[in-house]
Amino acid sequence: MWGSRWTVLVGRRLIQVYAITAALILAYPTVQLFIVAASDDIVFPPRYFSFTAFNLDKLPTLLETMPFSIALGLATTGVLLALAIPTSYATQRMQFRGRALASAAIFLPVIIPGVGYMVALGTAYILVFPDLIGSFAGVLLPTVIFNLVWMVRAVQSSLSVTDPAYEDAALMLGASRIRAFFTVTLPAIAPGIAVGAMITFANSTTAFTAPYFLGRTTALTTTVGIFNELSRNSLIPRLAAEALIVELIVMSFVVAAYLMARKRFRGLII
Amino acid sequence: MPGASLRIEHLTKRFGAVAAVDDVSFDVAAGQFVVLLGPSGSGKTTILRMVAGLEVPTSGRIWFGDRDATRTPAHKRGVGYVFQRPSMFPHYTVRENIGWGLKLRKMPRAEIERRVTAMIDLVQLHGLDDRYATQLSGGQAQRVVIARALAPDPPILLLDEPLSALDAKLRDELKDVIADVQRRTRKTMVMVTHDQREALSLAAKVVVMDLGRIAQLGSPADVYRHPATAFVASFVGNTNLVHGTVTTVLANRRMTVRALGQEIDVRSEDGLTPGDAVSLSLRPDDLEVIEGRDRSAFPYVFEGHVRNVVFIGGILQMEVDVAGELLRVHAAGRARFSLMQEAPETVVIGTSELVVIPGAT
Repeated sequence: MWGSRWTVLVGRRLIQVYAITAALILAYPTVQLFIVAASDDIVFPPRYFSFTAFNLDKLPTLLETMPFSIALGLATTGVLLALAIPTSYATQRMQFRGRALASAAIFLPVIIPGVGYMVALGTAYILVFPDLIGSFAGVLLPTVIFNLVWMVRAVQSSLSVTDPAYEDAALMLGASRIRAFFTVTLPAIAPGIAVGAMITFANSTTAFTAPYFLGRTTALTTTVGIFNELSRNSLIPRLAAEALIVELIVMSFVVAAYLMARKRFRGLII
Repeated sequence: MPGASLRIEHLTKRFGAVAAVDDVSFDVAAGQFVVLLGPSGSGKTTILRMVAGLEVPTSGRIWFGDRDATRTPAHKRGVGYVFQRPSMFPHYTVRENIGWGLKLRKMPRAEIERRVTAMIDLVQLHGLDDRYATQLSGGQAQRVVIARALAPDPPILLLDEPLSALDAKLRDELKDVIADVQRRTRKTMVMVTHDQREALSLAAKVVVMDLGRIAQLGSPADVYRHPATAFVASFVGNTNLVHGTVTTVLANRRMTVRALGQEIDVRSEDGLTPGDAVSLSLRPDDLEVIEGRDRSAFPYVFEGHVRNVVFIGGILQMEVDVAGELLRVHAAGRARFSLMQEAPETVVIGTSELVVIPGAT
């Protein structure tokens, strides 16, 4: 009796320690960036703080690249919403020859090293579609491909726990298959779609590999812009401030999307 | 809308080489409650899904009244369906779920409200109108699904094991709700279950299924008292199946069977001749312990040794060894207490219900 109570108490304490440690590790980069942005003092803890690095007029990289980053994030999320939902539905609910192959193929872009994938795609661009290099569409395509798996897996997971009986019930109430899908299944898998969209938006807004290799100087995300500056300077307060602002903007979009989804799909999203 | 009749003609469904449903035919009268009873894999749900249009038959026909509905798409059949697992749409409230099919039919809002309220009354869901599925018990969610299926006023309601996902108490409650709904609406209902108690208590007609075929079809009392096969006898209610051999066939539609260490005089079955193997079905509930009573009141009397006694509340379950065969006997009433107290080593048991089934067990 006492042994089991003691085990429970120790177990709880271990979980707490684990959770706090994990939170500290995850939060550390943000804290570090903030310290650098707010002070270029090399002593820890810093002796003085200043927010001058957050002056937007002095953040040219951010101002130049942020519109492209957000456009890329929104476009990637939009394209993937249109692609991933039917892909997930087909691979999860339908029986057809090659289903397993299609499911596995989705993982290929994240299994092959990104550099190799970019070299292959860059070669195809140079040989067949040279105009795509340095263009929005040229960066959008690989960003969509790289994120497809996350969106599809999130929607598939939601579909796998959504009882097909919902759709059959809608049919029995007089709805066609398409109507049953849009009015019953789609809202029921909204949590998976919301999660997939949030991951996709965050990933693509801060994308690095595709814009770095195929964006030239005309299609760059803020991440690549910051990296380019970093390769010329050390981590200066201005760059840390830019990284923090990107983080804040992405988080604002994600939280806003979450709140909208929660309001729209009451009963489904906590 | 009153219930419509349903006719199933030579219905067959094959999945590859396996016949899930094999040449099944039966009728359901308008307003009748029919239960398809059978173990898992007997084909009962496949029949229901074919009637609903969710599966396409390999062959055979399905008639709603005088309309051939075999090839009609599911969403145009106009039948209600209640699924095994509560299929309440999770993103709609109770009211929105019940009104879903009515909204689809573009009914006026006031009419939808009136009908939804009537359905909430019918399945006794008052006060839960604005709740979501996650805020309801399994039984309440299943009531919502029944109300939703009935709201568009379908002539036929199909219920696929609607009670199986619920605990015993909720199952009993919902069973009463279903019986009440059927009485009040006079809808034609076809329910699938593997629970013989549900089947016997709800159905006007029971279709017992085994391996994709109909094993027996009849009223609950008929199927229970006169099982056609050893499978039906053992699946519908508890029974003792005892091996016997026909010894003589008499002229007056009687015959004697050697079983339980004695010659037993029973009604003869067509086609049986001396030497044929038969099974005798003796229900534990029909067997009585005769204590100082007149043995002549029982056509069939056996003596045996008590091997095991278990008190399970309403009945005393005894295992009695009669000529090497172990018979289960359920003693009920005050007799169960005196038997427990006396703990006899041997008992005399009697019954007037004994069914002869051709073939060995």
